[in-house]
Amino acid sequence: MAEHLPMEQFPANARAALNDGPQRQALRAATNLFDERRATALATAPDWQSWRETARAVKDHTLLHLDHYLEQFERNAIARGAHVHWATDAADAVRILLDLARAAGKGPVVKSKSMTTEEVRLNEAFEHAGIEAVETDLGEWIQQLAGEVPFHIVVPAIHKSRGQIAKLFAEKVGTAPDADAKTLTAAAREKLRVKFAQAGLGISGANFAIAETGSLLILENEGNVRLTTSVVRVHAALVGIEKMLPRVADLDVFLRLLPRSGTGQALTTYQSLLTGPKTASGDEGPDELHVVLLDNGRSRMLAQEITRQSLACIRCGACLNVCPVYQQVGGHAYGSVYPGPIGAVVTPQLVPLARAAQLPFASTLCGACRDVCPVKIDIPALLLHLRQQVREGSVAVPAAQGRFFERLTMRLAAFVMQRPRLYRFATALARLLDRFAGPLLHRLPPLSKWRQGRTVPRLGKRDFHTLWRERGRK
Amino acid sequence: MNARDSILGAVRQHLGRTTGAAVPAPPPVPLLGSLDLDAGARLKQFGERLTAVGGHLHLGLDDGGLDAVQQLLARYAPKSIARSDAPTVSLLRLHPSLRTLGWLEPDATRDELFSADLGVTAAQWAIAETGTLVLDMAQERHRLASLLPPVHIALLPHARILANLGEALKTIGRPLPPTITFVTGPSRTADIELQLVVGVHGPRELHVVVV
Amino acid sequence: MRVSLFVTCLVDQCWPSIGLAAAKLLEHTGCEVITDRDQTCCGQPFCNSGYPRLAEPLAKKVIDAFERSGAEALIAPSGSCAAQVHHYPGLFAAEPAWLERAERLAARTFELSQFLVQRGMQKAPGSFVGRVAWHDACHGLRDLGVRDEPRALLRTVAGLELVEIAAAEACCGFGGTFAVKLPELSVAIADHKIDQVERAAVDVLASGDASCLLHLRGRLERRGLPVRTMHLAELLAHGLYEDR
Repeated sequence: MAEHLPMEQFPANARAALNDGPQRQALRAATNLFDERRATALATAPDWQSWRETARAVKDHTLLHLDHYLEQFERNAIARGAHVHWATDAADAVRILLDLARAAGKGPVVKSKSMTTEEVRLNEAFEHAGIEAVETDLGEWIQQLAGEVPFHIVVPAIHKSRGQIAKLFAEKVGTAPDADAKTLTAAAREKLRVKFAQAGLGISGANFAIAETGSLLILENEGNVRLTTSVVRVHAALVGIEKMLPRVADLDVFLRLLPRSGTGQALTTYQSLLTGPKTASGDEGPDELHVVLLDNGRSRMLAQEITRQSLACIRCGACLNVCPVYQQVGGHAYGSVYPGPIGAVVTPQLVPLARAAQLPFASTLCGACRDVCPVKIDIPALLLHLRQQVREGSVAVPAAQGRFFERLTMRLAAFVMQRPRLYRFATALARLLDRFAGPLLHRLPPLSKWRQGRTVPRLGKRDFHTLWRERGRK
Repeated sequence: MNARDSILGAVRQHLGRTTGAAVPAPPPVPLLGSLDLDAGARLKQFGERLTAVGGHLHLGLDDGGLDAVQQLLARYAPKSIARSDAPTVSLLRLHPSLRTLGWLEPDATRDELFSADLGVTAAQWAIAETGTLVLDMAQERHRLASLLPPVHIALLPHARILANLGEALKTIGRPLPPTITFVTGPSRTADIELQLVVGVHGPRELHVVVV
Repeated sequence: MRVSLFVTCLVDQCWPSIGLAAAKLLEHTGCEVITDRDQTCCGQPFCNSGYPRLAEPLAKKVIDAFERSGAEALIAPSGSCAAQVHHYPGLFAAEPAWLERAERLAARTFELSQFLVQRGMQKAPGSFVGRVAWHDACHGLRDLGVRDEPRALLRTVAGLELVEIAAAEACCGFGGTFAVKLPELSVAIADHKIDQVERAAVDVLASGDASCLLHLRGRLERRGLPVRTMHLAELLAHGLYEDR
């Protein structure tokens, strides 16, 4: 069963990722390409900034009245024949979906891409229950065959070369050992169609849920969502409660922002707007439609304005592509379903902060993510908020070696900085030490850490104010 | 307390509110695309955008698409053809030159649809701005004929080309049908080394015949 | 116009010539430049590392000192320090009196190149012959919008050829304590930029922030590349002040 790396070990995970040359190359190519495509798409969208404002305003409003919209959605979905389930946490969601799988009878479960199902570790639960669950999105299926978790939100297997995938397919699918991408894709189509034909239950996520009509909107390029939601007798969608939008009309702005931000497309190949199961026996579509609304820590984020914006995320992946940290280490190092900048702020809110305490520090605070976010989430502000919670907050964060030392150093530094005379004395002392014991000091932390890969700066013989006074200035 | 009450309660608690508070109207989302294009310009833009995403445009305004469809069927020589129940499709199917081909019934079995070589449907609307077809399953049974076979031919009434997505969302009838599908070109993926492969789970070829 | 030069702790201790150059440039636009020997730190390292409460007293000192100085503006040769002062109001959300004072200071705080352009500097007084690549320091770029001003001014330095690299706006990887807590990552991010600098065959890599420059210099030297790192102020005032 695919396992995440431990998120507590982000530094070690990052080091390992940096040593994987081919992975870094693939990652660089992918993030460059998506970022370029995004920039090209924006060049044809002169109203981009006002779209962002509009979308954020709609999200803010919806989140502030989320209970109202959840109830409205439920009412309208049920009126159209859908079943609406509520899952407070991952265990709830898994239980509901397992029950549906068992009720659907024999035959595999087919899944289209859903980060929410990864979040609740659905595949693992199915495996333990002896139920075959097959990913149908090509990248997700590749990762499933490899026994790995996804590497990137939009292109889950981007860190693998075609050669690596061909070898994997030769072993698991029976294609030629050096098959090209077209052949591999054709093999996936053939194998997965069998599963679609046999499946009793199709599970999807949803990009948006429309309260006004009780509908779901799902975007894709491959066609597996359309298959999952129309060929299989029972369709279940696991939907985070934050996916609510008030009106169908809202889709205009979100469907302009999401594909451009994610892949640089004006629209993805398919959008399915689904409202209830089929109504007449001759119709096409599922006999049963189940919507499972998932909380799993989201409601807590509503409490403060700064954290509430995390729920505006539309999962486009733009922040990943532009993040200097993600560009170097990729998705696995974060040890979380949600990697990159948005993952660094959402994960510590979804899992105990103590476990995710490294993630808010996995950032240089450069702000590139804030610039590209289609719904204007201020990720750096959230990172700082979480850093403060880790350092100054009341949550007990496990004391890793050096954490106590860091707190002490910070307090000492602040103490000195507040006292100019002490500061001048301390820096004069530092200059002396640097001059006579510099090389020794460079071998102690933190300078020894700096010294990994960089020469260490030396202190000037005289500080600025001394030079200034020497020039007869005040 | 059941999960529903627990979640709604948690949402209200964290928002610091009780039930029953009046909800103000959501912020307006204005129509975001341009509506300036006349029918001719819309057809032209639709064709350009469709071609840019790998679809093919054919004009069949004079003959209900007969000539275009004849040529396409000759080219692909499908052994079995899935079709929707649209009248325009039925009309074509009954034409002497096409009648003897391997047409399936609109209510073909799933297995038949899975192994069809080509699918012919209509489209209810199109969106010029993005080269998109809008398929409304309340008006036509075509969900699988447009999805399962590797080649999809769609007959699009020229008067149904809308300017942009916002207009389309407004135009779609209420109550919404169980499914509205937006189709922009053939299916695709870049999951393997970012190499674009056209034709994944959905069709590999999309031909739109404007009638 | 009297302006107070916010030297910044890094410039004070590690790179004082930046301060001298900045003062020279400000005087060139007709300002009376004062400094404050009691200046220590703007508080940014504490805020960014999750200790904003430790930054509060430092912010108060900066606000106090400025008000006492009689200066009309606070100028920092550092986008990140100027941005930090702009964030002071956020520290005092619960203290209305300080909040107001912080807002007043923030409105009068500028990064060096922004202020020089505001003061009408059209031609930088220095001269420097060489090819120079520019690195946009993140806080200056994204918090303060400093992008055109340094480039416009650098282009007026006699003999200077400004070279644009594709990764100009990419983070250098310093990130404060990030540089020593995730050193391999910090260096890897720098390498992405330095690879482009190397290919551009420039003499100098310049920026408006000493922190970025010290980090990039450290890596350039370790990689044995002959590219110098210089601060914007040093280039704009090159030849006009004595270094050390």
